[in-house]
Amino acid sequence: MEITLALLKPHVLRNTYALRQLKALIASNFDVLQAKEVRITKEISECFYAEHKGKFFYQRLTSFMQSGPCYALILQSESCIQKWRQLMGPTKVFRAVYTEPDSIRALYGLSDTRNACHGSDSEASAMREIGILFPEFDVTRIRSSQANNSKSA
Amino acid sequence: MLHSVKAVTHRLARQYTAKANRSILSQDIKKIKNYEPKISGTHANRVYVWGFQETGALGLQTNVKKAQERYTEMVHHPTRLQFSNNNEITDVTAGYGFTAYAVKRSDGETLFGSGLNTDSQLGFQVKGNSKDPANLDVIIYPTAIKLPREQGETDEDMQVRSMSSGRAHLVVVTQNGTVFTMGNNSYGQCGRSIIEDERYTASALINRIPQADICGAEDEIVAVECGQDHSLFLTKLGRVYSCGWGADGQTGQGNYHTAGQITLIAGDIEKERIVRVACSSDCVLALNEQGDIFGWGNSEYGQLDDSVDAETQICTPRALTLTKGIGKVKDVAAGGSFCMALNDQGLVYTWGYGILGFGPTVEQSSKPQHLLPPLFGRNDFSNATTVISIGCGVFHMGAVNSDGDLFMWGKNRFGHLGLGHKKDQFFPFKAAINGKVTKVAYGVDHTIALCRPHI
Amino acid sequence: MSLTKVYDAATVFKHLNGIINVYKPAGMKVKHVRNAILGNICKGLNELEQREPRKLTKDRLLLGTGTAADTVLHKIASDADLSDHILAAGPRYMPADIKCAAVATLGDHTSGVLLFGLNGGLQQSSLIQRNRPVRVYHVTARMGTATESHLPNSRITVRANHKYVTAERISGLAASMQASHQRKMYELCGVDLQTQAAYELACKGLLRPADNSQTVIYGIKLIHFDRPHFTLELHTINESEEYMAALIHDMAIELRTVAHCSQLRCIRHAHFDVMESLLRHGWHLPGIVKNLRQQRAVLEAHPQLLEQQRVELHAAS
Repeated sequence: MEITLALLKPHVLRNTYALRQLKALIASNFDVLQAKEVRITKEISECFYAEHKGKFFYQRLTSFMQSGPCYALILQSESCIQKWRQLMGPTKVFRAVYTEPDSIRALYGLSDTRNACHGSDSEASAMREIGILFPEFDVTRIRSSQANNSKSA
Repeated sequence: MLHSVKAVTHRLARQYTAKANRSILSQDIKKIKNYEPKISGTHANRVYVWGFQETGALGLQTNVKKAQERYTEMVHHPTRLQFSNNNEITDVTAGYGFTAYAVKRSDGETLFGSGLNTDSQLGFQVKGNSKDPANLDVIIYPTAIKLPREQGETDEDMQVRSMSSGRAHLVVVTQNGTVFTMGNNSYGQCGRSIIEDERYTASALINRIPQADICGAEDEIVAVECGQDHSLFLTKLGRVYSCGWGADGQTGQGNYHTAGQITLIAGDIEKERIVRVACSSDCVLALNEQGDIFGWGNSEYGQLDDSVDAETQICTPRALTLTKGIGKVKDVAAGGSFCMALNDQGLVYTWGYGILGFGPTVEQSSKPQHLLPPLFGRNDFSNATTVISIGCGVFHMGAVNSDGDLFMWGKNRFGHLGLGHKKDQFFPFKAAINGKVTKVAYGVDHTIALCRPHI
Repeated sequence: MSLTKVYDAATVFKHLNGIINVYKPAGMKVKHVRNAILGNICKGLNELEQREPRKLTKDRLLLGTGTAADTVLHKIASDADLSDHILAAGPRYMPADIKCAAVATLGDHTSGVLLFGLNGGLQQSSLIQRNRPVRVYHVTARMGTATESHLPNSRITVRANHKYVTAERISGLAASMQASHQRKMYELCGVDLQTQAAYELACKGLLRPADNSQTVIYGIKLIHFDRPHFTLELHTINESEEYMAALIHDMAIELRTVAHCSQLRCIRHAHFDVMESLLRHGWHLPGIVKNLRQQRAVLEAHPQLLEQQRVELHAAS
């Protein structure tokens, strides 16, 4: 089974109702392996968004993540990377509210930057991002269990 | 007297009339019950609220338990706020999930708020209930926000001159010119330097800035306007000061940094006398005395510049070229991905991305186009009706006409258009409000209207 | 065209086609107005030169015996059929001979413009009816007392003070009610609000309802205020007397008092104005014929009254 990193951004965390709804949504769709509130410092966010460095939104993305605590979760389910990205909806909130009005970003996003949540886009980046936010989390354990699964399958 | 009674009995005795009419004629007016309704004359204003309720921003609930028993997530219809019945509300502002009211009261409290208080944007609140004193993330009914006073400051001094709220902060200017800021300051939007890892929950810190510290002794602050994470201050001499998040250039300070220091903005507005600043998200519009529009901040959807290689972020105020053809502008409003302007003929222009009001399409246009006056209630029976003020939230737009009717259109996020349903509205449609609308506060997912009652 | 004086009832009857506009007095049922008008038309026709009795055929079979007495009889009845004589058959014109239908009815308490289609005008009257044109009313309310039916001739139920009601308050409320009714009109015109068609209709302004089951008010305006009375001008479609009386009652509740409707007058029905309306003392044949001619001119000036229009409402139609 795949694992992915889900990150709820600061403004959602401050909206108690949205947080409650999202936690319920996640619990009904995924197995949560680990979850914690994290404070994302400048160093972490620069490392986290290294791939976007140089783009016009890099500065606002990294500075937004610093505005308060975030909520990070490691999710597990069948093809959960795709599934979580499906639930989140398009990155751009102003377009998402019209194209996919029931997605998380359309419901709780405020603008293209304050887009409520983040999800890894591939298995490699999921591993990388989990490594940054959950250094104590043993990725190899999952890997080995995955390997076992594939063997048994 | 005797004679008249005789005459009546005589007439009745003659049975001219049908039985039904006789019972009417023989009614004794004096014995009929007198109807004595309560006259709402004590307070000049009443408040209607609608939109997303779970955050408590609407202030309609009085009991958490009762509210949980029934479905109350959103309120699609404008609903009268009970708080406004016994308080004279003079001004309102709507942030993300919270609302603040400026109130005139005999006990000296001038500011009330309800809704999300996770960043102490409604000040430090202590609940009377000893069972659950810590859970003050959500305030369901308007509660007083105590502004810290200095020696000798009267109730009159503490009346609110102007106020505005953002994602998680509230800025208030009182009559004596003191600026109070509260809530999240992670970008310096409260006008004080940023403290790393500051805790905003249950914080008692309300920042107090005398206006002289911002704009000097010879000028005074007349209005504040908050974006989601920044604040703008407009002075009597037409200067604009800013602080807060500048990652899209929305502080207009010529850079993309966060600013914890309130600073004067230059650029194209340096020599202009600005009379109005409008902002609800990250794009800012300003209007000068001559009716020209200036803008800065986020322009990803072509709100500020329509050229092919247009910048998506503008950090220095710039005179807009795309609105040159629409005449003298009286009012402006800037949403998340669109902008609006009202010219002196009462025509409403919209541009940008979203539901602009021209039928069932979500469109992108950098060319301001006007909506036809019949959409705002002009017709053969009321041919002098024009739009007098406009405004918008992050996702929706609104206009008030000279009859005091509010028209709303745009994305219907959690029913915040107040049209009685959850569907998006593609052209201006009247919200059913019993009163003449004087001011509307457009939040992210709720809307508050200040009205004057018919009687 | 030279005018020739007509003395002949048959000619007049032949031209008695079209719409007439009569002023219905309050307290009189439409049925009674119709009967009075038809009765007066017949009376007028019967006073004109009447047709001679039918001639008997020359070669009729005589039933007589051919005696001397019979010849006398023959001489008298030689050319006229006595059974067709007015004295034997009664008046030539009876109310039932004239076809007549009201374009739209008015309540008992309402006075004002009432349109009838006569004979050949029945076609026109049903066309006008199907167009659902706007009617304009002046409705007077009396504040202070509420009655059971909201009209003056019923028992008073409640009294109330009204010293705090001012003209500004009433006209403010009227403007707001007008806007709310105009909003309702979109819901009644049968168009889905989410469509392009709805937007295009909204840009045109006013719409007429899809059927005549629902009342729509296009305009409410305070035109006169004289405590305890005030008068509103209403522009409506599909209204009824009870609806307007209830409207007055509801407005009064909103104004924190009570009121009943003391007068209702229809001052315009489409383009048919109260100024051309035939008052009761003019309900005689010459008056009606003159009125027919006037209304025909109105119809010629506004041919859209007879065409079936689309949903949008034309200016002041």
